[in-house]
Amino acid sequence: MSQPTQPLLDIKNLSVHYRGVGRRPFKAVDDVSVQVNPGETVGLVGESGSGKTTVGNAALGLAPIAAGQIIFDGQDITHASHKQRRAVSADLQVVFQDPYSSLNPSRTVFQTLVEPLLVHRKLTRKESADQVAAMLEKVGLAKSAGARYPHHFSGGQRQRIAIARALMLSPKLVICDEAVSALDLSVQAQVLNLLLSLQQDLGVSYLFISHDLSVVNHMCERLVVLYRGRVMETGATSGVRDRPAHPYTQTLLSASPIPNPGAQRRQRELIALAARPARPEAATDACPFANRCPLTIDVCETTVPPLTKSSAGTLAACHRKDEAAVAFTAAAEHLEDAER
Amino acid sequence: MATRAAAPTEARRRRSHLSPVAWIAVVVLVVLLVAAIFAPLLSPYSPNANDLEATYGHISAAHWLGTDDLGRDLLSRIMYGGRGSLLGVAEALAVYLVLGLTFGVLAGYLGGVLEAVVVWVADVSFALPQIIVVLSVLAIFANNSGAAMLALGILGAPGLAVFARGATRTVREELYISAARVSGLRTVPILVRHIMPQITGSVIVQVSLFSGTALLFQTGMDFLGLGTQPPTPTWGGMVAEASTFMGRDIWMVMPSGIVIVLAIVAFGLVGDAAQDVLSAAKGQGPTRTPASRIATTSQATEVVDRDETLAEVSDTARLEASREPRTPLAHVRGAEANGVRDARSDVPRGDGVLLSVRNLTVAVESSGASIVQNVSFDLRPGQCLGIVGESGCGKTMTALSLIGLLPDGVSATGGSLTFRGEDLRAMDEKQYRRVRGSGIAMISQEPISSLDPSFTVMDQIAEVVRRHSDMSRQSARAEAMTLLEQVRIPNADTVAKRYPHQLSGGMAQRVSIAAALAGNPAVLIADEPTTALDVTVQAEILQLLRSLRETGLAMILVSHDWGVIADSCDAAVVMYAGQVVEEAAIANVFEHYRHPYSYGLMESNPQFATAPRTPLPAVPGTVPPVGEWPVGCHFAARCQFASSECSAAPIALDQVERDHWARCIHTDQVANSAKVGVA
Repeated sequence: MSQPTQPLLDIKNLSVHYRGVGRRPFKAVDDVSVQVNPGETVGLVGESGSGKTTVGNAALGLAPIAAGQIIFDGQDITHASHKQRRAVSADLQVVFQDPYSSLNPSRTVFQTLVEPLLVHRKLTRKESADQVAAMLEKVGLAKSAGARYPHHFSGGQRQRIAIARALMLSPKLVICDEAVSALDLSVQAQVLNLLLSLQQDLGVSYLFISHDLSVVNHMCERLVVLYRGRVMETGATSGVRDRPAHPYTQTLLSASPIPNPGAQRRQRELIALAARPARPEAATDACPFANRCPLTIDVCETTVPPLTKSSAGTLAACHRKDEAAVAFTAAAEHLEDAER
Repeated sequence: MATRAAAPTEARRRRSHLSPVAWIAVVVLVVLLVAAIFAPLLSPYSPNANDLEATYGHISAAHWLGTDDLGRDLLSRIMYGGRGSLLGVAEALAVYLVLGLTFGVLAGYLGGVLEAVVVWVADVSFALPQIIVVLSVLAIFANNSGAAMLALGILGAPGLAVFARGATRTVREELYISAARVSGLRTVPILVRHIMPQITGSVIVQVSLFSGTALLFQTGMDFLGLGTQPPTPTWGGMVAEASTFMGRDIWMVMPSGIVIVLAIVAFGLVGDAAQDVLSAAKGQGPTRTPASRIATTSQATEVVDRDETLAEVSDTARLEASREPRTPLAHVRGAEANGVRDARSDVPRGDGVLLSVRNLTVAVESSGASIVQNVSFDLRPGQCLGIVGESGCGKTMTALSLIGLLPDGVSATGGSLTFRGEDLRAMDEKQYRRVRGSGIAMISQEPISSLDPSFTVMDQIAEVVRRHSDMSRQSARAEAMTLLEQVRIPNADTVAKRYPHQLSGGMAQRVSIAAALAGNPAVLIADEPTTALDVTVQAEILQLLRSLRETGLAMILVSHDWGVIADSCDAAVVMYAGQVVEEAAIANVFEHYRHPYSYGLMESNPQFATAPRTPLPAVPGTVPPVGEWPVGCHFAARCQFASSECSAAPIALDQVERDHWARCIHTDQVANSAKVGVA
C-alpha cells in the first residue's frame, strides 16, 4: 500500500507531559502517531483520560509538547512561533464540545464570525458582511442571526455557529473535539449531516475526537483507539469495528449497548464471559491495559507491545493480538448463530 | 448590512436599565465635575474675594451656601476647590488603572515568570504602610499633592493587578479564547476584544472603591495642611478652616463636608450600577440546567387563571416573534391537555402495581405553564420502566415529582401518584420523608456531586442507614459495609475510608447506589445514572442495577440513550415536550414503534444508519420550549406525517394494541414507513 499523497496532518511519536505540582510529570499522551489525509475523516476514540483531546490541542498549539513532531500541510508546526501559528490557523481550525463556553457571550454572532476574516483577509466591510451572511446560510441559520448574541440560540444552533466560525477561512482541516457530544440525538443527527455535507462541498478534512463509538463509526474512514495516552489500535473503520484485534478495542465495542433489546441481551452474555481480567494486579508500565485484559501474560508486564499489523488487518499494540482476534471472531460468530 | 445596524439597537435596549438611585449618583458626579471644570465661568464670586461685612453668612440670595470667616463665598470656594480635589483623584486613578490593569491582565493571560513577578511585587506592596510611604513622599516634595496622589496610585495598583489577574485567569480558560487563539488572533486583540469586556464589570467596582479612597485621602491631606496651601481653596482645607469656628457657628463646615460625603457615596453607587449594566449587556441568557431554563421561561410568561379554556391564546407567541421568526401558531398553556381525555389514564390500576401515576401534571407556579402534562404509567415489583426523550421533554421533572423533590417554583398541579395504595400527593412533608429512601429512592447523573465532600464513604452510608432504622452506630457501620459489598465495590474496607473526591466516577455511582439502598426501598429512580461515565464503566453499573432488580427492586430509568434503555428496561415511555407520546413493552418500542417521534429519534441514531458517512434521517427543528407548546400535537411542527387535523386539537394517548399506547392519529402511516425502512 503506497501512499500517493502526503498526509495533510502528520503527528509523529507525539508525547505531551503536564507538570504536576511537585510531582512526576503526568504523561497525557505517550508516543502517539496519527495521520490525516486530504479530504479524509479520521476518528480519535477513547474514554476519559485517554489523551484524545490533548492530541487535538497539541496540533492546535494549545498543549505543551514534550517530544515528537507535528507536520501540517508540509510545515513543521511542532513548536510554531506566533507568526507561523497565525499563518497556519487559516487552514487548521477547531470546533469544541461545549457550545456554551465556546462563544463569547458579549459579542454578536456577526462579530464572532467576522473575527477570523479581520485577522487573515483584507476585505472591505461589504465583502466580509457578505461572506458572513453566506456562511450563516451554509450552516442553516438565518442571515438575521448575525445581529444576535449567543444566549439567543439553542445548543444545536450554537454548535452551527461554532462550525461556521471554523469554516470562515475555508480551512483544510477541522478538529472536531467532541463536537456533537453535548447535543440531543435529533440535533446531533442534524449537525452530523451538516458536517458531512460541508465536507462534500468544501473538501475539508476532519479529525473527529469522540468517546462515542456510534458517532465515529458513522463519520470516520479510519479510527485511532487511544487508552491512557497510547494508541491501542488503528485501521480502517470497518476493520476496527468488525475485526478488532486489541482486547481493549474489543472491550470498548462490547460495552457500548446496542439499541436493540435482543441483540443487546446476547452481547451482554458475551461480555460476562470475556471481561474477566487475567491479572487484576498486573503492572501497567509496559501495556496500560494489562490489569484489565483477559489475556495478560508475563511479557505484557515487561515489554511495551509494538504497534504492528494483526492477522485481522488493523495495527494493534498487543502481544496477543492474534489470539484476541481469533477469540473475538469466534464470539461474533457465536452471536450470529444465536441471532438465527 | 442590516445585521450591523441591528446590533447596537439591541445593546442600547439592554443598557437602559438603571435604577433611580444610580441615576442620582451619576447626576451628582456630573454636576460636581462640571462645576469644578467650569468654575471660572460659573462661580458667582472669585474664590478669594473677601466681604468683611458678610462674614459667617448662612444661605442667602447673594451667597447660596453662605460665607466663611472672611466673608468669602462658600459656593465659589467649593467649585474652585473641586478642581484640586478631583484632579488629585484623577491622577491617582490614572496611575492605578494603567499600572494595575496592564500588569494584572498580562500576568493573568501570559502566566509564567511575569505572573510570578507581579504576584511577588504585589505581596511586598501589601506589606508596606501606605500612609507612611505617602507622607515620606510629601516630606520630599513638600506640599505637592500631585506627587502624593501619584504615589497613592502606585501603591494601590498592585491590588488591582492581583484582582485583574484572577479575573483574567478565569476568562482565559473559556473555550472561545482557545478558538480566538486558533483563529490566529494576536495577544493584544484577544486581550482587548475577548478578555477586557468580560472583566470590565468587576474592575469598575474596584475603580469606584479606589476613587472613594483617593478622594478621602486627598481631602485628608488638605485637611492636615500637607497638600495645597491656603488661600487656594480645597475641600479638605475648607473643612479644616471651618472646624476652627465650629464652636461659634456649625454651618460653615456643612457645605464642604456634605459635598465630600456625596462625592464618595456617588463613586460607589456609580460603580455598582456600571457593573449591573455591563453584566446585563453581556446577556445572561438561558443556561444549561433545566431548572434555570424553566425559571427563564417563567419570567417570559404571565400569570393566568388556572381554569383558562382551550382556546385561550398566549402572548408568548408575541414574545417569541420578537426573538425569532416562526410560523404564528396558536399557543396555549396551563391545563390545556386536560381538554382531551387520554384513554390511557382510564386504565384501572392493576393488581400488584407498586407505583401508579395517573394524569400527572407539573407546572411552573409563577406562569402556570405546564412542563409535564397528563403522564400516566404503572410500575410493578422487579420491573424496569424506561423514560426516554431529549432534554426539555420533562423526563427529569416526572422523576422528581415521584419523590416529591421538584425544584422551587415548580409543583405538581394535577393527577394522582399512588404508591403501595397511598396517595403521595396528599402527604405532608413529614410523611413524605418516610417514603423517601425507604419506599422510593433516587440516584442522579452526577455521582460525585451527589455525595457530601466532607464525609467519608462509610460515614455517609452509615448515616443514611441510621436515618432509616434504630440501629446502633456499630451495627449501622456493619450494615453500611454489607451495602458496599452488595454494590460490588472491590476492597470495600479501603474504599469506605475515602472521601468522595478520591473516588472515580464509577465508584462514586456505586457508593450512591449503596446509599440509595440503605433504606431498603421498593422503587429506585435512576436519572441518567450512566451519562457521565465511560462506556466500559457504564456497562458495569448497568449490570449492577440489573442484578439488584433480581431481588424485586423496581426501577425507573431515565435516559436519552436508546442503548441503555434496550439494555435494562422491560417497558418504556417515550416523552416529547411534556407528554407521553408512546408507551409499550420494550420489544414493541424498538421494533413496532407507532409514534413519529419515536421513529424519528430512533432513526437519528447513528447506530441505525444504513451506510456510514451517509446523511442520517434527522428530525428537523428542536423541542419547543416550555410555555410555547401548541394546542394540538406538540410534535406536529417537526413531523413528516403531520396533517391539518394534527394541529387543530389536542391528540389523545390511545391504545394501538394490547399494552401499547401512542399519541398520534397517523400511527398506521408510521408503522408502514417503518416497515419500508427495515426492508
